[in-house]
Amino acid sequence: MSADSQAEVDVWKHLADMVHEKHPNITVTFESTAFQSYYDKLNTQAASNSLPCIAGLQAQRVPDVGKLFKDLKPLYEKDTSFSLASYEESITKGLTQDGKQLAVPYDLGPYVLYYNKDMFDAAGIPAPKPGWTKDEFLAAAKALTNDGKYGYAADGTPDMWLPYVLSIGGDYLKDGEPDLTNDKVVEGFSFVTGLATDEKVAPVVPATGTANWPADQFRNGNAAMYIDGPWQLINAKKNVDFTLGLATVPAFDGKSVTTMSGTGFGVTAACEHPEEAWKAVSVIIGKDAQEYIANAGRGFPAYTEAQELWYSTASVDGAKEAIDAALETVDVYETAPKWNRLSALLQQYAVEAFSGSKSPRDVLTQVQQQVSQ
Amino acid sequence: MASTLSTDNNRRSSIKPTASSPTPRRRKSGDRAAVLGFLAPNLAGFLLFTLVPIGASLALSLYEWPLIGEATFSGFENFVRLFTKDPVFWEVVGNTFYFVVGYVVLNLIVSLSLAVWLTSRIRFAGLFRFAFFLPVVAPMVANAVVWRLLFTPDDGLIAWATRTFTGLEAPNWLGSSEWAMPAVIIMSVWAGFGYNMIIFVAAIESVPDSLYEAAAIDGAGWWRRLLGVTLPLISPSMFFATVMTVISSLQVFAQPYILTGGGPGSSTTTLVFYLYKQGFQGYEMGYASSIAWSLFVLIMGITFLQFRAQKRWVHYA
Repeated sequence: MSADSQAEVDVWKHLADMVHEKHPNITVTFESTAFQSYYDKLNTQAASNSLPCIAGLQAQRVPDVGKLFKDLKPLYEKDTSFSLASYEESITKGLTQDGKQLAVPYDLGPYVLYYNKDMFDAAGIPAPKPGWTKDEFLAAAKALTNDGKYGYAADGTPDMWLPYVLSIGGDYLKDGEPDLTNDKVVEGFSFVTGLATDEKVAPVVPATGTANWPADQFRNGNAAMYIDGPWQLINAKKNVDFTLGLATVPAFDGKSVTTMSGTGFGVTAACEHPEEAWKAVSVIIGKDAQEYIANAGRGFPAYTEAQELWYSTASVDGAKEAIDAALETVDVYETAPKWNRLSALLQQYAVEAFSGSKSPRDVLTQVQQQVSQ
Repeated sequence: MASTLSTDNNRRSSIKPTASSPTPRRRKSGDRAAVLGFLAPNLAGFLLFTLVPIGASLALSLYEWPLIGEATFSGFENFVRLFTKDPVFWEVVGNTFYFVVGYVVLNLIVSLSLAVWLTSRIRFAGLFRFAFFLPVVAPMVANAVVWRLLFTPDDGLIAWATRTFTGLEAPNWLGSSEWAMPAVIIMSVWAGFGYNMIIFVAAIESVPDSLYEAAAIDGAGWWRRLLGVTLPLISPSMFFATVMTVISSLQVFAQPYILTGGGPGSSTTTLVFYLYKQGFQGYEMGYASSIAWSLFVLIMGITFLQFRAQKRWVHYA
């Protein structure tokens, strides 16, 4: 499983202990790596036939590594205490491939807009509400931009701008392959890069090897808004000294569609003890564990009954309204194989679109050319 | 020279009695066992972790292997694709040469100048030597993170210094494809010159004072002594430093990986970074191996040329 902080590691270790308590004959050894290199590790372990029995799987990575996982259906059909219907449907669907249920989700998250409430208050403008429009967004971003601070931050990774493409009615996939050069995709991408080049409400993006640069800008107070998933809330709340708020991605012509992702646990195809592995998985994603995760504020639980608990733990302005609103129109984050490569290329090439030295269309064309060679 | 000769003589004279001793065979095979015994740990490691993987990667470069899944033999298809179809490979080769030339030239100029300065009669030479060598020991990751802050447009230290002292706007170092590579080179030179500097300091200090005295008596000034005495006498060290620096800079990886992520666009993607991306982001191990072997041949070729050219300028005393 991936973990980017000690807080996360502790959560996973606690879940492993919950398995030990319930099934003393099963031992779960927890291994983790930073999210950025998690799939490298998974692939390398698969190539050397040393995969653990249980592994985390993010919905976006299903096209790449789905084949490493077993279909869980035969395992959970025998298990009367388990019902897939207790989990948010959009994400259980996201974790299937060719009719196989590869993993059961523990969290899900529509990408939402994080905002720095203190900056809004200081600028004397009302905090954003779910459903706010593009024009309101632009006006707020302009009002927030001064004195070296910016209203918004984004970079070229697809998570940062696909919601804008979807909100204007675009589609970035065609027959399961990336289709980055159609007009709507270019329009959505140009809107986001234009925040830096034309509107000047977002900082120019540096070329960088770091993941989630916009989150850094937001957390250190350089930018008042950015988009991210609710799973970041625990890290964000701990690391910032201002009041956080959540809202939806601004609506275009009354429509705000966001992508969403989520992660689940599955049993790997080469596992020699699938029955035991399933027993462990059913505890890790079970009701108690989901309530524990909700209480710890880690990931927004996929187990619907545990979601209320998460909202009360998070106690972040507008979290419930934003996430509920986002979930109503959400699009499961569908991807193509080698999505991580596409994502890295976009981060790398988009720098020039944010600085204005290349047109957004040229950048998308270059990336498209490389992923389809 | 004299000392080298005498050790050669000693060796010869020590071999002769052994060869003519009554039990040459036993002694010889005993030696061999001992030699192999001492070499074994290193040799095993070399075989297991260097030679076998190198051989395997050569074989791999002829396969298409998506890491998870079957490897299929494809002959020279990977190389054909790399050289003729890959949209960025030649750009990446160009970037690598850009880095190598910029880095090696600047590195040698900086390290040589500082070495000359440090060996002149200055105070606190030891302290300076220590300070200049520090970046070599500091981990590249930490360096890159600090330099990223220095390179920040508008508020970064470099941007501030440029504005304050020249009145001009500093370039957007990491945001433009023209300036990203110079930024990577500047950081690399800062991080790496100390190593060559120490080599040059040692070489300059071993130049006999009598030569300088003789040159001074002949009326040679500081420049003349530098060009006529110091540089020719330390040319073997310069050759060594050049060869090693060229090889290591052809393999540059950490700087673009951490500082720029290879961007903007492909402007700072070097061969090894590209190899990494193909192997560990695209999971195309065969293709990545073919890049590795192209790089290997390139390094071999360049190093060969350097050895050929050394006759022209390297003087072994």
